[in-house]
Amino acid sequence: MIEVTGLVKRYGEKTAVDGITFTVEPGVVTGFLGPNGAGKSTTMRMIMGLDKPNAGSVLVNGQRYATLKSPLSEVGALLEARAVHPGRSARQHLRVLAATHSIPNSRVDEVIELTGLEGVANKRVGGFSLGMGQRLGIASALLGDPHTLILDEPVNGLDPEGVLWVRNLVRYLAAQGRTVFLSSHLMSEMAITADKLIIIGRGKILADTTVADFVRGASKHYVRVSVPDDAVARFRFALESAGGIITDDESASPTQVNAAMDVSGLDAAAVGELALVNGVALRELTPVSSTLEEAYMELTADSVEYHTVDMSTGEHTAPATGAIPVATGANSAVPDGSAVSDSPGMPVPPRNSILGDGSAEGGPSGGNAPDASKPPGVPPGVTLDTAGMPLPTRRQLREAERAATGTIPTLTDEGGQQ
Amino acid sequence: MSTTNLAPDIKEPEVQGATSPTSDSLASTVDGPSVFGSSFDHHVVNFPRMLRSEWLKLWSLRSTWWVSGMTIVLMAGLALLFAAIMNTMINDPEVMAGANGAAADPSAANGGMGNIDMAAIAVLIIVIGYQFAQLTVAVFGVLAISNEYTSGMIRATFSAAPRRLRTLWAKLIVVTVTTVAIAVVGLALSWLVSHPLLSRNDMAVDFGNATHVRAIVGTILYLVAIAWLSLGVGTILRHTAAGISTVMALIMVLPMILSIIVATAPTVQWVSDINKFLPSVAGERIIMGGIADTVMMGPGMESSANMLGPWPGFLVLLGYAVLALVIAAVRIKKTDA
Repeated sequence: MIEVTGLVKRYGEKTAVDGITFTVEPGVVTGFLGPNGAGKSTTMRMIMGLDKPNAGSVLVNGQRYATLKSPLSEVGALLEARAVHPGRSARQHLRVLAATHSIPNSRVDEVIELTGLEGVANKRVGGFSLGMGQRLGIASALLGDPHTLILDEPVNGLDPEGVLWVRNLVRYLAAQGRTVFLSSHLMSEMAITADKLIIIGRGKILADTTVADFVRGASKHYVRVSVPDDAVARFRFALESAGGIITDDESASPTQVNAAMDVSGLDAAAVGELALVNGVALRELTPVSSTLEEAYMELTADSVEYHTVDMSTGEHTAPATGAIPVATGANSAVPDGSAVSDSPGMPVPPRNSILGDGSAEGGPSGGNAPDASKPPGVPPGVTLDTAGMPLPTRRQLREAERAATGTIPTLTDEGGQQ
Repeated sequence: MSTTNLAPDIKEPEVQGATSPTSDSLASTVDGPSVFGSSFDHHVVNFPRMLRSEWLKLWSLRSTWWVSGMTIVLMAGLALLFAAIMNTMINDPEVMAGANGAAADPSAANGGMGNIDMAAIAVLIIVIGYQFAQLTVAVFGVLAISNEYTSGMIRATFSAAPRRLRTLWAKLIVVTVTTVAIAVVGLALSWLVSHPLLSRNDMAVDFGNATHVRAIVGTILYLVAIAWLSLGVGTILRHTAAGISTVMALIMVLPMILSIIVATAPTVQWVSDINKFLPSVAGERIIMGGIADTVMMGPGMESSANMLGPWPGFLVLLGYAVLALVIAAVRIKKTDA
């Protein structure tokens, strides 16, 4: 059980965590989700008593971390950066930690076996791959058989098998009645691992909900329909008469020619039949399913810390705040496939810009900025959001790039309900 | 690193802990769907356990073995080298002739082996290794904490033992014990290897002589104080390279520069005043006071009149060390890890 109340952390001018309050309950996996720089790691460090909050309080199992009598059996943590001296072997590292609680060496061997580190347990950690380091971090977290687990990006650097293993492990640990709190910037991973979601952006809680609710609110199906201009009014009436709801109607704007409208409540077949009955020529008929990832993107679009720059226009790809409904809870996160809202007349950047063929990523969910016409990679020499943000470190840029290039498979609705 | 044996042989989760919860674990888990009890609920953190952890930490690094071994070997090696040189010089007829001549005329300044305390030379030969040992001890002291900040290990350390001052004191004790051990073994070996050569020439440490004993015990104390200073500086700076260069500048470079100025411009009194209060210059007096003065008096050598007494000098060094540790304690407690 973790209780966070009014937590604030400032670094100079910048407020990293801005008065957040939430509770992490035992028995379930709680996901802590947010873009890079949203304040996830800072919050976790404050829970662990490593960073001092400027205001607010954190209680772990009802106590301040610093007053815990047996910290390793109360809380096991894997924090973002590798917290191991490279000159020690994995086994030595674990024994050093175990010694503080007089935890027997047999337990050290147990967690080594559990995390699949037997083969490298006596090798120096300096030579470990990212994935091996991550396993050692998980082994350290499990060492004290803790009531509460705090895992910051636990699947970073793990192979698919390792990812699956972590997913099963945390679910198993939660089922034992432990509190499990894990962070990620990947909605897709959280949707299949966590039971509850706390979404954070720019240091504020954007949503505190269950995964089931979030999925329910996020999974929207609609049909994108385009008809000749002279038939728009007639067909819109036909659609509405048949029970369709037109959610996004670009054709209503006089400047748009042959623009599409989004119709929900009818499937593509029904729309096609309506067109036939009404004698309207269809120019486009596209069934669209917005993904969980998109819903998350929109929720956090306003709080993405590091925006990429569209090199062709030199403009920041500022979040299209106007196009996005302000979401205060997950259920209000209306997915809107048309987040790409280039205003008419704005030059469309060439696909094959100097940044290379980022177009392969395609799709509105290709990047963490809403402008999908822009190559999603973070270019070198990038300039940043001008809102007084410090220059990002190389690591932050790398992470932003990793997040932007969308190496994760797009989550389908079916996947979200597993 | 070979990754051939890294095949992910991942076991099904089989974490123990579904053991029957004790009354204690019941109290610490509230309102859970199922109450979880850890197998280690009763394993509390205490200072002896933290000491053991710090001890394991230090000695699980190869560098610790290397550096302490090298220090001991070099201390003994230097003693053997100087003893051999003395042995050769004393048995050289020309040198001895000069010495005899000087003995006939004690007031004359000479380069021979005349009016000097031969036993003091024996002490000097045994303790001279401190010049090297202080460098390795300084590296030990800085690294004991800076490598935790550099590697991120400090977060694991503070997660396991959140009371940070205790970590600092545990490190202080471990570093002290290690330093004393290195110094004692180094000095004992120095005596063992040099004694056969020196005693042949009637040069033996007089363990009944207070000055001799103070020089030898002082070497241990001096090295401990340098280790404390270094641990303090390392905790304040949290950076290995910065910490080591700061300590080196304090105990090596500054005294070197100032002693050159003192030697070339002996009339500039304030330089000399600063010089004698530098950590290592002041601290060394507990070793060298009354020993080096009798051995190395001559042109170009600083006269002990410009120096602090043995114990006041050591207290000045100890003052620096304690000051560094106090600042370190405030910093480790107040600053984010």
